[in-house]
Amino acid sequence: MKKIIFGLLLLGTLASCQDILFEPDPQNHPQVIYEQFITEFESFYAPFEERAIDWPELKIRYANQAQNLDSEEELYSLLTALMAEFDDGHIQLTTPGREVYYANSTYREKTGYDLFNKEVIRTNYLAPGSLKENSDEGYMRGMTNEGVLYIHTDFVGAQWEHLGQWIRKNIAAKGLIFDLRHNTGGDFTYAFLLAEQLAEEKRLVFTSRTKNGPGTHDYTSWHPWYLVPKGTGYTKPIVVLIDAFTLSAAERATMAFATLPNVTLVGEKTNGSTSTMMARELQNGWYYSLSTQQVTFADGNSYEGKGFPPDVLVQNQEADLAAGKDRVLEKAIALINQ
Amino acid sequence: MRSVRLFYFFLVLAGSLCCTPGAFAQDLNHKNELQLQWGLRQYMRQDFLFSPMLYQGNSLLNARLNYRRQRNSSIHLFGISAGQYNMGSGPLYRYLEWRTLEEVDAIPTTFVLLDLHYAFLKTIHKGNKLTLSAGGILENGTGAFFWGYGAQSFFGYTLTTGIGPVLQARYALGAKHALEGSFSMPVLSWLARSPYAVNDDEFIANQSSHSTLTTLGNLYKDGSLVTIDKLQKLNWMLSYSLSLSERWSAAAVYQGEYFRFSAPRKVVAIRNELSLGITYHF
Repeated sequence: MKKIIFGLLLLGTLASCQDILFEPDPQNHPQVIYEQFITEFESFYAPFEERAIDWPELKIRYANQAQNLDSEEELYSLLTALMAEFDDGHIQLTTPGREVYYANSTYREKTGYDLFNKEVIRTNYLAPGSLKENSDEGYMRGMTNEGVLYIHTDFVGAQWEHLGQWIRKNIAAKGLIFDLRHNTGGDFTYAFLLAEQLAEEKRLVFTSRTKNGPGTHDYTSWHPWYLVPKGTGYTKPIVVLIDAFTLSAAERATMAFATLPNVTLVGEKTNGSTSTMMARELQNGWYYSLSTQQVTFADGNSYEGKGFPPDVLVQNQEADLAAGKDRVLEKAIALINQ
Repeated sequence: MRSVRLFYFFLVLAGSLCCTPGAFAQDLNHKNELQLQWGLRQYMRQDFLFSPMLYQGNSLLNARLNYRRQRNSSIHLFGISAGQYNMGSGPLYRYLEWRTLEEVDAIPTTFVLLDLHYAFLKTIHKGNKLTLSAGGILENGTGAFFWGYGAQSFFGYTLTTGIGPVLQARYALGAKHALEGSFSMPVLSWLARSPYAVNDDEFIANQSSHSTLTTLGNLYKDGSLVTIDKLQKLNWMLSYSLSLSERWSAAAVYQGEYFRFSAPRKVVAIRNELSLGITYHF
């Protein structure tokens, strides 16, 4: 019996040895949290140069303000002000009871967010009976009244594979409109799977490299991303619609489409957050995310912070949408009907 | 803390079982054993790739299946174990979604751990009560980590396959009771783990087929050979078994695992399991 009690005590000791084996959680004080944020941010963030950020100057400027941090409210104000300097769609801050903070001013202020309206498209542009929607998978597809395939997705994910099959089944249509407006991104490799069904020859889309250490020059080698044809190709005209809320993986999808010779981009420039991202946790339970890659399009340019430009610039106006008109979509249909 | 209380509850339960007198003698002529275990598992992980905070959690959704075959002095052991853990560094909170301002729960963090092992041992000492065996073990660990960061979730992984020595001791407390303990430690392992920035091009390319097996193969391929000076992984087990009949026995088992690795950033993890098992002898 004594042996059993001794054994149980030993097990209890093993189960409670966390203080010896683990490092203590960092101190939960606004100034300490701010310092942790700065250290980690500069260890992981990649596109300082693309976004023309003078990080040493910024650090010094904000360090002065950080000296008197004494409350979570002050910390929130300082962190969000610093994040806003980057205007990066991938920099976000999640805190209890507040709206998720977007460092990107277009997202944060929702500038022009209402200039895209799915209901207008459903009601006025898609042929009766052709509409299919799946809110869980975030897509809407149908045939326009003029016989053009129309697809909109809220994000880039597994649903793109099914949409590729739908395009092939409707190969007789006049052309394809792929609407990436208000697409918040996701996993761009699904976009490649679809674009590879449309491609006829191998094409370089972009190259990217990722932070692999805390130093300024700690990056992986450049990785080329190609479209490799996986089907018979698609030779009909394709119009891709983009706007300032086309973000991240949706921008990479835009790049993939842009390499195809039968694609025209219509709308306004994308958000300009072309990197991939990761997230971190602060010791007070707040979460933030940031960009960890540098991305160069096939033309040799980076569109981080600039936005990928349309071939044809068209922007909806509030009055158009109020009248049931989507000028961007109408331009796309007109281009395919040419 | 609820998790600690639950763990000690199981500890006491196992202790009580240890003190229960046995009813039947074990037929030692049977050479094969198949054991199914279930219990409370506790996991602690501090992985600086993902957070500076210590994450802790429990699993009630778990199972372990062990097979043992003995012929003369040779012992073959095969085991498979799986568990899903609800993890956290603190309480989950609610935040307001962008644009809709709808109040929603932060995404929780969930870990899934899968273990496989095969061991071959030889009996090196056989006394009246004590039997000692030693041999080698091939063990495989797969960790899939779904880290919740408020409105976002990111995937991380650790894959290991290692070989090393294993030691096992069996002590007969009487005709119906026995204690068993084992210890193993891989000395040479193949290890693959999430990269520094979690989603680098290599990782993205590895999972671009969107096939689980292909992705797993690709991730393994990107691993490297590490020795015990880089990866410290220890496994230990203590069990008490009670014969219930000629064919059946019950067991209370405590198992633990320690894992430490330093690249690309430090990770330390400890797993404690307190299980009840039922064994069929044939």
